[in-house]
Amino acid sequence: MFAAALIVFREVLEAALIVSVILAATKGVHNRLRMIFSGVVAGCMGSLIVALFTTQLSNAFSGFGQELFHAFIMFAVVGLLSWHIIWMQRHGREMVIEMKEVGAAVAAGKKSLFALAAVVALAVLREGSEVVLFLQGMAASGDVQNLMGGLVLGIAAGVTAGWLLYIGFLKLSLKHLFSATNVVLMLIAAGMAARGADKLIQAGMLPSLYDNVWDSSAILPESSLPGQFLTALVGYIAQPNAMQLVFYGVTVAGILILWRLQKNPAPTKA
Amino acid sequence: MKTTSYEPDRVVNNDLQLIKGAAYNRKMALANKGCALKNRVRFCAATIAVMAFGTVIAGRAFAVEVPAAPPAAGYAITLTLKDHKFDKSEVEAPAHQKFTITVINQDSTPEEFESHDMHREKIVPANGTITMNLGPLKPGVYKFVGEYHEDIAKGTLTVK
Repeated sequence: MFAAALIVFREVLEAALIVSVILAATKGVHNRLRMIFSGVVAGCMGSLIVALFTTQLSNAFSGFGQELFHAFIMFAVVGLLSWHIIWMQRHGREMVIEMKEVGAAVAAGKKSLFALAAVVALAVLREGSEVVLFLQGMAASGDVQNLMGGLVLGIAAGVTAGWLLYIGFLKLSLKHLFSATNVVLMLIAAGMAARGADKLIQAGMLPSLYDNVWDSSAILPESSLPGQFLTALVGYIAQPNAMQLVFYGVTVAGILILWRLQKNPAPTKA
Repeated sequence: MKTTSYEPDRVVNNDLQLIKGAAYNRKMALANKGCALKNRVRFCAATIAVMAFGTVIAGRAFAVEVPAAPPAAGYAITLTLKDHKFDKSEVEAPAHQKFTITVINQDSTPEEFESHDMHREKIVPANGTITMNLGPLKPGVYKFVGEYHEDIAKGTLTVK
C-alpha cells in the first residue's frame, strides 16, 4: 500500500504545489475557490480521457505523441501564467488589496482567475493521467485494497504538502504575498518552458545544443523530495542542457520585461 | 510637465469607471451565481476533451503522412516487458553516439518506463510499443525502471 501511495504522491505532488501557489496568489479574490476547484475537476476528467486514449496518443506523431502532448500542455501553462502575472500587474494588485470583496475585485480577478483555473486543470491533467494508468494496472491485478489505500494516502500526502506551502505563503503580509507568488509563478512558468523544451528535444524537434551544462544530480537528485519540490516550484533541473537554459532564461526575461513595462507605463510623449 | 498635469484626470476617470464597473459586476455576479460553476466545469472539460481528441486525430493524420522515423543505422536496444519484468536487466550502448531504446509491453496493463539517469519518462501502453531517442551519453551506468512495478521491473544500461 505504501509503495502505491508513494507513486501516487510523486505524481500528485507537483499539481498540489502549483494549486497551492495559485490559491495563495488569489487570496482575497472573490470566487477563487470555485474556479480553482472547477479546474481540479476538469483536470481529473481530462486525465480519464487521456488515459483512455493512451495508445492512440502514444502512437501519434510517429510515436512521439506523448512528448508533444506534454510539451503542448507545458507551453500552454507558460502562456497562461505569463498572461496572468502581467495582467495582474496592470490591473489586479491594487484592486485586490484595496477593494477586496468588492465588485471590482470580481471583475479584476475573473479574467485572470479563468487563466489560473485552466493552469490548474492542465497541471492536474498532466500527472493525473499517469495516476489513472497506474491505478488501472493495479485494478487489473485485483489488488483493490492496496489501490484504494494507496490512492487515498498518496493524495492525502500530496494535498498536505500543498497545504503546508499555502500556510507558509499566508504568513507573508498581503503586499509581500503577491510579489512572492508572482515570482514563484514566474519560475514555475520558466521551469515548465525548460521541461517543455526537453520534451521537444526528446521528440527530435529541437537540438539540445549542449548536454549537462552542469550536473548536480549527485548532490540534489530531481527524484528526491527536496528535488521534486524545487522542480515543481522553481523549475530545478539537475542536468540541464543548454536549450533548456535558453527557454528558462527567455521566459524569465520575457515576463520581467513585460512586467516592467506594466509597472512604468511609457509616458506618452509627443 | 505636460504628462504630470495629465495624470490626475486619468486617475479620476479610472475611479469613476471602477465604481460603475463595481455595481454592474456585482449584479452580474449574483445573476450568474447559480449556473457559473456548472458552465465552467463544462467549459473546462470540453476544452480538454477537444484538446485530447485533437491531438489524437492530428497525430493519426500525421502518422499517415510521415512514416515512423526509422531507427536508421544507429545502435538500437529492444527491451520486452512481460509479467512486469524486463527481459534483459543489463544492456549496453556505445558512448558518445545516438541510439534508441524500444520497449515492447506484452502485459495487458500499462507501464511507465522511467530513468532519472537518462531523463526519460514515457508511458508504455498495454500491449504497446514505444521508442525513445537517446544519447550521446557519457560512459557510465544508467538505471531504469518500470515505475508502476519498480521493485521487479528494473535494469541498468552500461554505456562504454
